[in-house]
Formats: sequence, C-alpha cells, structure tokens
Amino acid sequence: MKVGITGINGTDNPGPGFAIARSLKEADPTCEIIGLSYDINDPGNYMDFIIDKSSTLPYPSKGAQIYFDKLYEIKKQFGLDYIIPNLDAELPLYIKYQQELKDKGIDSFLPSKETFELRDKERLLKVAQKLGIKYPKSACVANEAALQETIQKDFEFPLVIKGRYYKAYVVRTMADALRRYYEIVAEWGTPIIVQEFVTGDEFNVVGIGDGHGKSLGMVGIKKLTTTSIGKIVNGVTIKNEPMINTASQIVEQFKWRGPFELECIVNQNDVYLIEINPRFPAWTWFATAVGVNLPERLIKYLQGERVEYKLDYPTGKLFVRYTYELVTDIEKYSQLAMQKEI
Amino acid sequence: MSNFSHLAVNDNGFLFDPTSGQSFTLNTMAQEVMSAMKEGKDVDQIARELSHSYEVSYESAYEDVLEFGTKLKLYGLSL
Repeated sequence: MKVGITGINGTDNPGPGFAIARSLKEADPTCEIIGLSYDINDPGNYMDFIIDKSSTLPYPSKGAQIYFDKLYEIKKQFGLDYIIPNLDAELPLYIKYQQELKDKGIDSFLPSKETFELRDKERLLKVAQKLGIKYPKSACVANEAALQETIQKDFEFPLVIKGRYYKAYVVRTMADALRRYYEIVAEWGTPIIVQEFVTGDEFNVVGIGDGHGKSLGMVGIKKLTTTSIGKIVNGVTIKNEPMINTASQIVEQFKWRGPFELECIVNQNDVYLIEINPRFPAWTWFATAVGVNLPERLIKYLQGERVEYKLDYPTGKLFVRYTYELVTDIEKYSQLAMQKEI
Repeated sequence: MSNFSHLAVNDNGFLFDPTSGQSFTLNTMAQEVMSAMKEGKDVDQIARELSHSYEVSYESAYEDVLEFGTKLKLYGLSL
C-alpha cells in the first residue's frame, strides 16, 4: 500500500504530514509513505524513518493539468494508491478532481465542494446558526478605509484580525489592527475578517466524518500552551460535552466526509464556533497516541472496511511537542533540487 | 451537594477537570474535603469529620467546607 502525503513542511507552522505518516507507519510498518512537498527545504523530505520516498510537486497555482500530471508520473514510477492532502491551499484542487484521481487509481477521502465551502469564514455564521451555537460577531473588509470604519462603527477593542484561511491576531489598538491587516494581506490577500474577541477556553476536536452522518472517531483537546501564531505546544485530552456534541452535529447534519478539525471557544455552556478546517491538523498524532488512529481508519474506510467505532478515548493525556534535528548529506538536497525526488 | 465524580484527583492533590482541561492543586485539607464530597457526604458530615481530625470548632470547619464549595463553583468544577 502506497500513500501520498502533503504538508511535510516544518517552520513555525508545522504541516500535518508528519503526524499522518507516523500514524500510518505505526499502524502498518509495511505501508509506504510518499512525501509530497513544494519546497526542497521541507524537513519531511529527509525524514526517511517515516517517509519512504519524497518528491516535489508544482504549486497548485500552476494549474490542475501540470499539477496532476506530476502526480500521475509519481504513480507510474513508484505506485500511489491513496493520497491525503493536508494543506488548505491545495484542497480545492483535490476536491474538484477527486473523482478523476480515483479513476486513475489514486483514492482520497475529502469533503464535497459544498461542504468544503461551509468552512469559509464568511459562511460560518450560518453554520453556527444551524448547529444552534454562537458565532462571534464578524465582518469582512477588503481595504484599509473599510477596516477602520467597520471597527469604529461596530467593534470594541480587543478584537481579532483574521485572514480568510490563515492567521489570526488579537489586537488592542487601531494601529495594531492596521499592522496586522497589512501583514496578513501581504501574505494571503483580502478579504480580512474583523471578529469580536470572545473569552473562554479554546477547545479543538480532530475527527473524520464518513459522509453519511457517522463519525469514524474523534478526539477533543485543550491547548495548554501555544506558539505566537496559536500552534499547539502542550495540550491535554478532554471530554467537553458541548464541544463533542458540536463536532458530532457537524458530522451528522452536514454529512461531513473526510477529516476535520473543529476549533471552538467554550464559556460555561456557550459554544462559539471559531473554525472548521477540512483536513487533519498537525497534532493528529496526539489522537493516534491515545488510541484513535484516524489516518489508519481513513485508509481502512477507503479500502472498504466498515466498523462502528466507539467514540471513546482517555482524558488527561498530555501532549508535549518538542524540537528534534537530523543531519543528512547535501547529496540528497541536490538530488531533490535536480531530479525532484529522492 | 453537587456532583464531583468527573474530577480526577491524585494522591499529591493534583486535580484535573476532564471536561475543561483545567488543573488545580489541593492542600491536604482540601483533598480530604474533596474526597468526602466525591463519596457523597454532605457539608454537615464533612465539617464534623474535619472538626474531629483537625481539632477545630464545628462552626469553623462548616464555614471552611462551604467556602471550598463556593470556590469549586467559581472555578466551574461542580456539575
């Protein structure tokens, strides 16, 4: 069995690819992982203890033809049975072409286009209303004047400045808001979302929906410490009823298909929906380590296995992320740069 | 008395709430009170036991137990 995995990047925003590769290897050491990256510097390219083969892909912005031709070439050369895409920017392409990929022998388990679009920050209000939970007051702006006017008219500091897909900052002054606005625009473009700052505990759930209203498993955590951009450093497994109910409802009501990460803020019994990410998060291995190997379940589901999984896991398990290094030969770097694969 | 059966408390007095992920440390007396509460004892029973084991007045122990209960509510630890 050969599984392609994207998101094997590191830096301050670690990709989910390592967690998925590690989970699949732990479930079946004979499973071959093909790491797919967009940068030869991505650490996953050199982590041969969990990633058997690495290949670089053209950016999705180059167009579907060029992108998938490369993937088909990889399949022809090494074999590729399944693919688990993990980066927000590439998901629309994989969702659009998932049937074509399947026809070519590369199966995936992704949300439909309609479900994927539900997670758009501009549509989350409607999702929250349907789920009977709250959504922080939000507004989309596309230029500096609109940002200032919206804040002055409808918001109070502190508030949150968010990108459409990535980045979110709590700001306390207009100058700070403008600084973060331009920072996100420079990287991800407009629109920018201005959002009410909601207090409470931030909880996250990772899970998989089977596309028919049932879950293949889910695990809830609380992030205890995070990096400056909100990435988990320490976390603990919890079972918060309003949070788990919300995740179950997303799977049931929207017939969610594929992996997801739910981010919400819980204040007593009030649940505020913050984000739904239609992919595995980088902390997915945490779920694996407490007995819920979601990447394994995803692949087995694609292979036709139908199991009624218990939605149970131990609480009070602590996640600790640390930094580790490896040293390899520059030859590998060179090979990846010149031949696009190692 | 509220339900505290969901709270995990170890021998060192480390309390973990698996519904919120919050953790606290309890001193020896708080551990005893929590243990008694989890056994379903009421304020009166717990105050009598504390009064006996710590040689303090029943009224003082009763107030301490009530205050502890208030703190648990304040921290959202009682169901």
